[in-house]
Amino acid sequence: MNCDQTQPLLEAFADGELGWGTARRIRRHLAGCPACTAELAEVRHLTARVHTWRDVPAPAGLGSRLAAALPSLSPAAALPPRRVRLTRRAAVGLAGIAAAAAAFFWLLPGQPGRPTIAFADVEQAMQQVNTLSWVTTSYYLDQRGNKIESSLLPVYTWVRRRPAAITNFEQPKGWRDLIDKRGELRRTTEGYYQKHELGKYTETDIAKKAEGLIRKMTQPPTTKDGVLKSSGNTIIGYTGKPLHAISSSFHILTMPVQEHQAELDGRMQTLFTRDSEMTIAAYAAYPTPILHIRQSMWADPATHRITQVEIQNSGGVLGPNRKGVIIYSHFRYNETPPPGVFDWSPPPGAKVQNMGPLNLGSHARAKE
Amino acid sequence: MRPDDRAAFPAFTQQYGDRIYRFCYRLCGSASDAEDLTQDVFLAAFQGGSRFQGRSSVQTWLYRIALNCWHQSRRAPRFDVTDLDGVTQTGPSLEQSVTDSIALTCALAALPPDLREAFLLVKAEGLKYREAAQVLGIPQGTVQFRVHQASRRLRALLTEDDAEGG
Repeated sequence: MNCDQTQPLLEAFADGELGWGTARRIRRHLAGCPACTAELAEVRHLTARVHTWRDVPAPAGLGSRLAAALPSLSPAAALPPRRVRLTRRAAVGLAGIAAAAAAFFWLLPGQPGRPTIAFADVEQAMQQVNTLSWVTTSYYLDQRGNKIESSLLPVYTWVRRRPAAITNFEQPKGWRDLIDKRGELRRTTEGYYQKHELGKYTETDIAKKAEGLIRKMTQPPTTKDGVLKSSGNTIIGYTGKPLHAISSSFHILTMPVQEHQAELDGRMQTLFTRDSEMTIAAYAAYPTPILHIRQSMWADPATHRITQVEIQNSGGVLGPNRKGVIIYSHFRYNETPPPGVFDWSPPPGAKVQNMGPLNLGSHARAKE
Repeated sequence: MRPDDRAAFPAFTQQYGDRIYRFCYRLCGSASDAEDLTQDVFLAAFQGGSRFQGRSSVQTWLYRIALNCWHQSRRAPRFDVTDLDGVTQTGPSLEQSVTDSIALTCALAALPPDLREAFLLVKAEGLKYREAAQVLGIPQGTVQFRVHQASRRLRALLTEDDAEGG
């Protein structure tokens, strides 16, 4: 046997699934082939890794619940029609608005007129936008899914597209690869500085004082089979406290975008979701050491424009009893911006805090 | 013990429930979806038990039902990494074990469904290739090929992951 014949059989060989004759031929080949021997070692290592991962205990009471589901059914009856299962996720306490909107899936295969658009359609449509505004709200959910009022006020954001620039929605163009992120914010007040280098992924974010998560990555993320991986050294600031800078390695895995159909604001839209895992070494001692991030974006199937963005965070410094939710809503396209909004004049009646001029847009934290 | 025997159903779920739940969890990626899917599997088994002819083992039959139910649900796997059940400390630290678990889960989720299902049945569930072929309704050689392809892709993903220090 040669290597091309041997390697496809190594998994079955390692599992003892091959016939005696084939297994003997493979052993003879391995005796004289370091490459296949090394490959076999990798196969066995993966198998061992799977064995340490495989056990998932069933939840307590599962058997009772299964048995309790029987009384209304008869073995002779036809199988019940496939029911649409909704809101179990909501029942176990996922984000309120996310449960009402993002988790409200209707799958209607073969339904005439079922809206389906691709993410590329959304990117293309957003490229035609000249001005954009939205409202950002954020809050926490407790472990029961009840909303905890946040001290953060709604933020009104206006964005203006520059020639050859990309409208910044806090989600970079090319959501699938997080590579093409551009822009520059200048600091004028309390330390908010963000710099991205065009064409090369070196990102340095320094959060506002006493607020937010900062990341420092000095190498480009990599993408393979749709899974995005990025890592670096993180400087972490804890929300609500004076900036406490520590340096800790981190690792982010970002899964491919999933596309669904979901109802929002009374009509069917296309929902794109993407899950990320952020492992921060400094969180190892936390009850919930891994930060889980779900990004959801709704797009109108008629206009292909974004109608809502939602970011859900759980774990990490939020701990086991809270989830953080950020929602960008009330998108308005190509309207004339209020006078002076890009000059950093506050909206009428609003009081602005921590402002700084932006080349791509402006943020106004308004008190109403 | 027949799956459509109401009196024996609790014992039936006791015998196979944990295993089927585990498989459903690996398909769905979340505990809540896994329980829903497990319920569907056992209800389908109860209602279809009279059609079970014993040509395969009950376990193989249940796996097949689980895959059919999963395919019919038309869901995408949802990643539930706040659920750290089942992670045992085997490396230098529990954090490393948790990271390894997450990395493997992520890597599996990146596989095409046909490769992932074959790999899960053989490597995670410990089925023989012949049994997995019965579950999937494909030739045994095709199962071998899919497991090999899945293994190659996973090793490539995980090797890169390890190199980045994740």
